[in-house]
Amino acid sequence: MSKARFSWQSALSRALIGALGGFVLAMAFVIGAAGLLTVSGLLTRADAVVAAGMLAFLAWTIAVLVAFAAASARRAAAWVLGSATGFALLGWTSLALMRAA
Amino acid sequence: MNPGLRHSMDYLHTWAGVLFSVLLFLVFFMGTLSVFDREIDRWMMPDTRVAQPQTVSFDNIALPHLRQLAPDSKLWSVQYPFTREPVMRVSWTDGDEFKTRFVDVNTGRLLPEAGSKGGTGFFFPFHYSFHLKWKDVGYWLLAIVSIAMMALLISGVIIHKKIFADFFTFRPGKSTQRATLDVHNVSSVLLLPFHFIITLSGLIIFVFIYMKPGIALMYGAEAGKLSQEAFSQVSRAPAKESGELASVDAMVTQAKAMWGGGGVRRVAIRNPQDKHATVDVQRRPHDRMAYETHTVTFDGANGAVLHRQDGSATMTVQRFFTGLHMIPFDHWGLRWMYFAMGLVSCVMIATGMLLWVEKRRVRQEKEGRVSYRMVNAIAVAGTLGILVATLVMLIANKLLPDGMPGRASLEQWIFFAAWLGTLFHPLTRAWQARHCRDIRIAWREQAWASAVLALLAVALNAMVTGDHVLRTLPQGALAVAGTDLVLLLTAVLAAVTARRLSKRPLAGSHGTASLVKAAA
Repeated sequence: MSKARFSWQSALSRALIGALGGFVLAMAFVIGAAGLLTVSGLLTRADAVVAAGMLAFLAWTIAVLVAFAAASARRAAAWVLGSATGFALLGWTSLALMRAA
Repeated sequence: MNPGLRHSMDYLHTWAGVLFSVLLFLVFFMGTLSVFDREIDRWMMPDTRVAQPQTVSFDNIALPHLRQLAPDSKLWSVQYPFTREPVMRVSWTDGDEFKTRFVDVNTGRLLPEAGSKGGTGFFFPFHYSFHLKWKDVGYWLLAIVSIAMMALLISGVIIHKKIFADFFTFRPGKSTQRATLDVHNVSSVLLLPFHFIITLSGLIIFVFIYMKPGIALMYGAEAGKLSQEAFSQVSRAPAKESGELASVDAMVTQAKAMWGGGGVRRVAIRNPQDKHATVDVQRRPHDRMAYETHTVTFDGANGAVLHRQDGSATMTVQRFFTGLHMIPFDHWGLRWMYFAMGLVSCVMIATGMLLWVEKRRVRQEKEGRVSYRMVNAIAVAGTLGILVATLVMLIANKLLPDGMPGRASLEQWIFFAAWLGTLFHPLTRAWQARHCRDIRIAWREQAWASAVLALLAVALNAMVTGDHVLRTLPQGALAVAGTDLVLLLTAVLAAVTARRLSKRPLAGSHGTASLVKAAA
C-alpha cells in the first residue's frame, strides 16, 4: 500500500482550500444557519448568530479534512465552495424573508 | 476504512503537525502556565504578597485612588480581591491605553508599580494573542492554529488502525522512535476529549471576533448591536454634565442581594464624572462551570437599578464553553488537573515533532540531506527553548533592579532574546562537525540548562524576597510555595531527561564520515 503523496502544488492548493475556503464556508454557514434559525422564529437574531458561529468552527474543520480527503484539489474546491454557496443562498433567502416581514 | 482516506489523513497529520507544532506547543505551554497565572503574579510581583482582606470597600479604598490617578478617565474598572489574588486591581483607560495598579485592601495603600507583566500580563496574553496586537493578527493566527489542531486530532484518530490497543501500549525499553511513538499515542488517545474540547472552547471564546464578517452580513449597519443584544448590555450616552457618584458599596450590597449570594468579580464605572455614569457590578462565577457574571447595572448618580443581565440559553452555552476553558471556579483539584492535562498536551505535541525528526533521520543521513536537522533545531527551540526562555525571564524578574524604567517590557524582551538564543544553539550544534552525529546533544544541553535555571530561579526568589519554601509553606503562602515547588520539580525532571538522553544509544546511526560530509 503506497502512501499518499501530493505534489507541492496540490498540497498548497488543498491547504488554501481548507484554510481560506473553510473560512468562507464557515461564514456562509453562519449566515445560512443564523438566517434560518431567525426566520423560523426558533431563536432571536443574536442567539442565532452565536449558535451558528459556535457550530461554524466545526464546518471550518470539516472543510480542512475534505480538502485533503478529496480525490483532487479541484474536487475539494467544488465540495467546499459548493457547500458555501448553498449556505450563502440559504442565508440570502432568509435575510430577504426577514426584511420582507 | 478506505486506505486512500487514511493515507491522505496521514499526509495532513504529518505536515500540519510539522508546520504548526511550535505554535501549538507555545499555545498549550502558555495556556498551562496561565492555569496558575495569578500565582505566578504573586511570585513575580513580591509587593502583592499580602494577607487576604476580610472586607472590601469600593468607596473607601478604590475610589480615592481612582480620583487621584484617573480623574478624567472614561472607564474605571476594579477587580475585587479573591482567594487567588489578595490585592485589588484598580484599572482605568488613558486614551487607548488600559493602565492598572494594585492596592493592598488591608491598609488601603497603593502598591508601587509592579515592574513586571507577570502571569496575567505576559503568559496569559501570549497564550491567546502571541502578543501580536496589530489588526488582531495574533487572534487570527490562533484561529488558524486551533483549526489545524482540530484537524490534527481528527486525522490522528482516522490514521490510527488500533486506537484501543494504543491506549495500553508503552514500550520505553524499545528504540527511541518506538518509545516516542508510544508516548505520542498514549498522550493523544488518553486525553483526546480534553485536547478536542480545550481547542474548540478556545475558538468559541472568540466567536465574536472570528465570525465578524458573518455578523456584519447578518446585521448590516447595526453590527455593533450584536454584543449588546447577546450580553443584554446597557449603554447610556454621557449627559455631558458633571455628576456625583452615589455609594458604590450600597450598589454592591444590592447586587449581592439580587444574586442571592456570591462575591463580586469586578465593578466597572463608565463616564464616572458624568451625570449619566453607569456602574456595572459583576458576580464572580466561583461556584459554577459557566463563566456567567450576571452583571447588574446601576445608575451611578442615584444607585437605581437600570438593568439585570440574564443570559439566554445560547449565551449560557457560549459562557459554559468559556468557563470550561478559563476555569473560573474555585476547585484546586480540577485546577491542578487542568495543569497536568496541559502538560500532557505539550508532551503530545513535542513527541509528534520528535517523531517526524526520528523517522527521517536515518534515511536523510544516508542521502546526505539535512532538513531533519533544521526541524530538530526548531523542535528544540519550540519546546525546551520555550521552557528555557520562561526560566530566563523568571530569573531576570529577580535580578532587574526595582523601579527601573521600562522594567516590565525589558523582562518581556529578555524572554524573546533568550528564545532566539535557544534556536541559535541547536542550529550551531547541528553544523558543528564534532557534534553533528548526535542530534540529541542540543536537547541534552538545553535540558541541563533548564534544570540549572529552574534551581537558580528558586534560589534567587529566596535571596531577593526572603521567601523560600521552608518559610512560605508553614505561612500558607501557597502561591509562592507552589511556584517554587513546581520549579524544583521542573529542575528534577529536566535533569532526569538530560541524563536519560546521555545514556541512551542512538539507533540506526551511520558512520561519522558521511555525516561530517553532509554537514560540510
